[in-house]
Amino acid sequence: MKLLLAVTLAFATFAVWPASPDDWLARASEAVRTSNYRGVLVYLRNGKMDTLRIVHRFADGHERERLVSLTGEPREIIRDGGVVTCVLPNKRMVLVARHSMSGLLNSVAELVRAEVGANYSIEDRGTQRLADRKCRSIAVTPRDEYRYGYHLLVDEETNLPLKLDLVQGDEILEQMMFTQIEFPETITDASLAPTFDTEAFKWVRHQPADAQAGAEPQEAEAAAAKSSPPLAVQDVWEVTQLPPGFRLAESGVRRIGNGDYARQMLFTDGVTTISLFIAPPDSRPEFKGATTMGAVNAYGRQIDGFQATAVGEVPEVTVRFITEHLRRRPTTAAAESSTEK
Amino acid sequence: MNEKLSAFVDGEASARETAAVLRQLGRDAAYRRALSRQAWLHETLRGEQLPLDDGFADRLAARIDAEDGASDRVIEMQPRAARFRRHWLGPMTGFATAASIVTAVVLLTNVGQDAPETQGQLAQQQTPPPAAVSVASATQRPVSVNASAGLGEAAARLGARRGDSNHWTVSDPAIEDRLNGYLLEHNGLARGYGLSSATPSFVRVATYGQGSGR
Repeated sequence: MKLLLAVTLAFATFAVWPASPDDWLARASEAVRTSNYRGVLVYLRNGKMDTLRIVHRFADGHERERLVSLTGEPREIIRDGGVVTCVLPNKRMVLVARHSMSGLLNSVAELVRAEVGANYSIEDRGTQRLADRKCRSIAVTPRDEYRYGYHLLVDEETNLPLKLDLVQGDEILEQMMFTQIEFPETITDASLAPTFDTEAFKWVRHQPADAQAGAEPQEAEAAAAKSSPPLAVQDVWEVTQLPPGFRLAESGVRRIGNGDYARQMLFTDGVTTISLFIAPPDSRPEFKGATTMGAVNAYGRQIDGFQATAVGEVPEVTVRFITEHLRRRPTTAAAESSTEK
Repeated sequence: MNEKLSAFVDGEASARETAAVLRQLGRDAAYRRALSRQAWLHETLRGEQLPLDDGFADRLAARIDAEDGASDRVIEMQPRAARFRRHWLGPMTGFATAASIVTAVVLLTNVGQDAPETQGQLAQQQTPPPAAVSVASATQRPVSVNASAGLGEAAARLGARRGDSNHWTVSDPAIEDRLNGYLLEHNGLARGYGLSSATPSFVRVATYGQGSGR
């Protein structure tokens, strides 16, 4: 009886223990991935407003999602686990990108406590009402200039973030928010199927050079090595210094398009991410310097004929920092060849 | 009609106009055909000569109907208090027990400024109301397309110092294509890291290149 009482008390204490701001982020992350939902999402940024329809299903540990652009040119994104299919009907093109899902193991739920605190302050700003829904306001504020801040309104009932502001200082760069959402118990396969008949479209595949799934993985890996040996050797490329708080999370060679290869290195500070792409010399024009698309920044430079490009949802200073600290070390073969001379 | 459709296709319609277009799409076949033609015209004017896809708007409307019957259940925005009490209090009570499906209809007007709870309550006593919401049980699933004055204006305020939000600020289409490919790759690999796992993925990928930039 005493044991039962103790367990009950412990459970009750746990149940009423207020969630920390970290907990709210973890809950939001979990809800986005593991809930069934569909709705309309508005994406606002500089003078632009796009409306998207989103359907998300989580069943048997598998995530599927479909986004349909309701404004602008027709476009659909379908994600099935690690496979993303981007249908561009106006270009009569389908882009297919295949990724492993290893990143999900490192979601914010795990990282927030371990490494985020050094780079961000996370604050619970209490309850706010968003369109009469009771939401928890969570502010993620950067401690330096290398990252953006985030304001989330997390629905207290479902834990789904109904609104997300991306901010830099006092300026709101972007807002994403659900203007309509529902949580059905089940979502049919038909709801996740593409609207367009893509049979006659051109298909372009992006995938890891050593992909286990998909077409000809061994051939792809061999072709990558043959096409550009320096890409196939990770040690050849090194970022000598990273912005504070960032670390290398993943690195691998990817087939981008139907014949091009690039090494992709992913860096994270636990909240945001940056990809650094290194592509071998080709006939395409060089990209040097900075460019931006909304809140996403990119920075490019040439290293020994290779095109290095960093892309991320971070300020320009951060993508520039990473790109400028990329070094190519001579391969063993090249060094030996040099010694012989 | 064409002016509204044009704004919708260009992504320049206000939220209220967008809602009106979506409602009309669900009801009017001629309107759907007009949307297809408007989209074709839009692309043609941008220099992308494409065959006219007469069926796009039909498929879009059919898909929306099939998924949630939105076209039949769209409600007009009314002063919040009256609408909320009349339609949604009942389902909210039912939610506590049924709760197998929750539908939240979020009607927003305060974009860019999150009103604290007290301010929000104060604002609700004024007209026009800032927001309304509905929650329903599985047996009654109201679906509404939002109507929100001011979203377009809010969009214009956001990131005002930045460049084009749908196109990379580069002049060479080949470089833009490369960067778009990288953006897709980045979103794919980044999924699951940090806050990218706490937001719907690929929203940027779904919107890049939209509008009349290039």
